[in-house]
Amino acid sequence: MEREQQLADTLDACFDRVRGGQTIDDALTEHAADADALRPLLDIATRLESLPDPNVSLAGLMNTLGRLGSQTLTTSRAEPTPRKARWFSRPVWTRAAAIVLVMFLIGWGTANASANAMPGDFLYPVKLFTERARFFLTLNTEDQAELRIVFSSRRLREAVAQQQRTGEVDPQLLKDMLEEARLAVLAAPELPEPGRQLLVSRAAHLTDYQYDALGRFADDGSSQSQIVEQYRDMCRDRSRWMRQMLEPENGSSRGSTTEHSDRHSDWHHWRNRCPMW
Amino acid sequence: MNDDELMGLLEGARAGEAEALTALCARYYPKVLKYMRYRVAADLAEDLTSEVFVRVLKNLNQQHGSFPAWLFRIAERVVVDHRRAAGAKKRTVMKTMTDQHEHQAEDRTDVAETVAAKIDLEQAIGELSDDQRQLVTLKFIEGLGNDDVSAIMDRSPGAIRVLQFRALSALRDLLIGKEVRYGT
Repeated sequence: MEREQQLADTLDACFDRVRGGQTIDDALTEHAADADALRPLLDIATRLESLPDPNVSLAGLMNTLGRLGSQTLTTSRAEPTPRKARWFSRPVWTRAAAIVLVMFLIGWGTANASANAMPGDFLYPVKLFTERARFFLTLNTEDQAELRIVFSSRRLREAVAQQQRTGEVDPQLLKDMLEEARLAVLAAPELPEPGRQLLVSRAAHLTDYQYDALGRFADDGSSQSQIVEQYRDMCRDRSRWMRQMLEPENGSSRGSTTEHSDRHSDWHHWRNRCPMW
Repeated sequence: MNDDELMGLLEGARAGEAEALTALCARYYPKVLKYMRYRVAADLAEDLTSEVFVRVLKNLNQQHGSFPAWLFRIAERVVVDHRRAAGAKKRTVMKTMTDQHEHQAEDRTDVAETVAAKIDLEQAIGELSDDQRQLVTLKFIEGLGNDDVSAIMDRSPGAIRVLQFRALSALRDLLIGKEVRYGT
């Protein structure tokens, strides 16, 4: 019994080292007498850690969120509210969850239908909700950055559509557009080449396009033209900032370890200089 | 997600903010689903995962301490309640998952060896005792630390280390048994 406890403690200590990045052999160095007994157990432990993740279906997640919406509705019913103010007095979550619940009652097709929804449409919150769920289900940093670029493009498209429909620009949409683009490009230092350069290059092109689009908004004499100009200046500054790291002298051809390390630190330094509000 | 971000989400979710609750659910849904895949039959995993989040929402105001430990305690309670309700004495854990891997192995001969090894490992997990399988799932598949595992299973850290040693030893014996049976 005492021997088992001792082996169990040693196994646990060795596993912590393996989790910390050591090889199994290195972790067992100080426990040569027990190495033969513990090596196969550590090997199994590392194999367990590398078992594949299950596929997560978006439908399953949405179903869960629908149940949460249903739950909050039930809770809200238990607390009587004035008849006329009932819907508008519910918390935002309850209303969002109710929309999701209705979406499920109508069918999954609604989620696809929401893909083209614009601000003010009944399905627009579903579209934002689906985007968020998709983002949180994406674990890879590069894919997350790509999604943010897509979201940023969508916000611009929505801003244009809304401006054509109402004659006014929604500053919040433009702010979201710039924020998604900023968060996308901030992931660049974490990516390996060539993904890093490609991401910054895509973000820079998108920013240039947004700069031009904001110019058209400003020309239309909108009541929000001052804010639009401010956002346009931000696009210009960010485009310059992004292109600093795309210039030839900042190319990825340098090879030595020191240069690699300098370059790594360059990228982090560059990220900290992102133009902000 | 760091501790500050998690605390922010928890505060927001308690205040009924849709965004915080959605983010919390989306972030932990894959982890709970993974846990369920190793604790119940695969076709039940999604439904029971949903049930976990409904209970999380109901009890969020009582949550304190480590959120993952609290979350997986609820998950295990859902597993126990389900078994009690179903009167299930013998589970068919991971059958569907194993079937799926067998089909993959037939279709993709280049990775057949790797897949076969994973099938063996998953089948062996299914043959462990219930507490050993719970520990293996929490510690190695979910990647939790001993403190959280100890809190979830309501056992001392020393008892957890011994259970871990026994579970890995049992897996080793089961895997050796499979090698002998198939002559590999």
